[in-house]
Amino acid sequence: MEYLHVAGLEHSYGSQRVLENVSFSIRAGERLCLLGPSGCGKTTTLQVLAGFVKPDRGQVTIKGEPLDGMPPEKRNIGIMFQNYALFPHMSVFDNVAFGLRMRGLEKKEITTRVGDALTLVRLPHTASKRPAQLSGGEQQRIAFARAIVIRPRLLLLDEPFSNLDARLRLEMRTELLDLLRELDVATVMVTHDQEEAMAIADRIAVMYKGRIEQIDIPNEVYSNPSSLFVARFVGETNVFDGRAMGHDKVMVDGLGEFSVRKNQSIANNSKVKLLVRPEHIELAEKADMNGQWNTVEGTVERLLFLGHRTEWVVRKGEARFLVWQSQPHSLMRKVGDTVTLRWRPSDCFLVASEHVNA
Amino acid sequence: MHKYALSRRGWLLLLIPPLIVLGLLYLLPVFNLIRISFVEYDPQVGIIPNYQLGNYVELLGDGFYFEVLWRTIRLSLLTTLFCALLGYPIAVYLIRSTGWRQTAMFIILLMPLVTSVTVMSYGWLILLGRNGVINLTLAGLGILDTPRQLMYNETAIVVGLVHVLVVFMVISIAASLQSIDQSWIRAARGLGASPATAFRTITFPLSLPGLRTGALLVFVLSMSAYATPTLLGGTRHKFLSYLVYQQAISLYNWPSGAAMAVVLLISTTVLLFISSLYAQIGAMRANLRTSKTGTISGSMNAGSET
Repeated sequence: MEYLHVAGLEHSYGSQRVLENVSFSIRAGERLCLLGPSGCGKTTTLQVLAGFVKPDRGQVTIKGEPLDGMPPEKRNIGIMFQNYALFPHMSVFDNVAFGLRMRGLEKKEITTRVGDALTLVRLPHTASKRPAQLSGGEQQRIAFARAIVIRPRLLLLDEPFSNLDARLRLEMRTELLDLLRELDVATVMVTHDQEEAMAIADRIAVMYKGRIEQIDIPNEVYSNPSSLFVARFVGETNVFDGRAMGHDKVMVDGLGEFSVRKNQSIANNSKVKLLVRPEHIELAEKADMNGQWNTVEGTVERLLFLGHRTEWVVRKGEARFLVWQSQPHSLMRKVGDTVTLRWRPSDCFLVASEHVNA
Repeated sequence: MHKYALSRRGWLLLLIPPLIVLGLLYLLPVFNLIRISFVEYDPQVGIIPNYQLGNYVELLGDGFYFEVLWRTIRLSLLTTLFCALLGYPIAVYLIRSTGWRQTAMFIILLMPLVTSVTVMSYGWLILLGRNGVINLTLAGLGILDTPRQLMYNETAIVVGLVHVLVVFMVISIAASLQSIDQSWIRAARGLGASPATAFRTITFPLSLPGLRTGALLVFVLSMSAYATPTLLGGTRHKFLSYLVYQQAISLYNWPSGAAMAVVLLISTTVLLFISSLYAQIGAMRANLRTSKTGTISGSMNAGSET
């Protein structure tokens, strides 16, 4: 059953088109993440949902009720802003109570509900403090409490972690996910960080140049990207130009023939790109010629020890392979050595070349 | 980094030139002014270096002087009020407009500052005079049979002062409006506040510091205004600054003029002190209120936390 439905959003700022036929829907309690680089239209989409931007075309409905032309204050949508937007002249209590006061609730109920919300984010002792007296992580939790205390129909999170330092970011990610699961509220989150998106979201919509490139569960977006852009934006990828030979073979310029996962949508002999994730490539001791693996012999050009993994750049001719290895034995090689790389056909895939796709 | 960092002593050395300038050009004259206000004056002899309170006693017994002092304070407060009422919407417009509209508004606002006060007051004379534009227009339309006296009254003084000083109010308020993050307004809207409510609960309270600064500037400047009240108020509606001028320059009675100036200085300072006290009490009461609600919710949460 569809809960939030967004159909055919179009929007331009002046001559610049920022949204092109953006459509998606989410179920009750589902978390959708709009993922993309800056300027891809994800924030504009969020602002359309919040009612701050009136789209040129398209419709937004919640439970079948259209939101067109409804001002933000009537929508009952909770919003957590990128900079949290806590009111600096009010105490934490008054910040969280703001939405409830606007709804004209009784004093007693406001006190109870604000207390509950602050307890939920584990900050009840901060009620009388000013936002400026709180740490970044605390401010984020108060902003969250303020957004959910009104019991919104929909929760919007705008880059929720971008203002936190790296360590706190990981901590708050788990915490926010726990809270969202507990509340079971339909959520649309915007981020440019693919890891955040995969951690929080039930489904991810990858956006590029005002359009949704792919919308699917995180695992599918990662292992089955529908376009070169998605493959490159979600995780690192080695990309090689080639020509399709049937549905499961590719001839890569200067490297030879490789087997790939079957892709029916690729036409025979069409220009394609072969994509291999760096963590799927292994260093083999000897060339494994039994045909189960794709293999390439190359020279180690760069070797970076990063603690939890080692990053290799292996060169063959003009082609360079980025390889991530977690095995300690990979340390035994050095720059200039000849190594054999191998990867499974099921771990690599073809996408049509961009200009054909576009 | 250390190479360029100044030591404490270096900073103090840098402070010396401005301190000397300030001391010579400000503190010394003010001290001298206060000193002169206590010496005796005789029209035949001039200044007699005999320190006493005679000048102040004379002022306190002078009803005319009090009337002028009261007018100066009253009209300055009115000027401040009208500058605030007029300046706030202009500041909002200035912040929201862009491009040539904003530039045009700035030019209109700054015009009185770059034009000499005398020229500007004569401009008002052309508008408000007995044969001025307004009188002629109203007479021509048949609304007035005879020209009205629009000049040389207290209204004219306030109109003139507001014209000159409103820019200080606008710039102060605009600066503080500029620092208001648009996401605060959006957050308020998202939480259920209409545009008017968002203005009342977020924009206005956050712009109060600018309003306060603007009010102080306008009040201080209009308390000491000379040319505008003199030209637009005429002989019957004098400002204190005019009396000081009269005593010191026309009558050569420096001690009496100095005493007046000191009273003007003191009354301005006292009014500023009262206004800042009032602001502090307001802030204290707001803090008390939030900490009270804070403890209520705090104690309620103590139970659910354990």
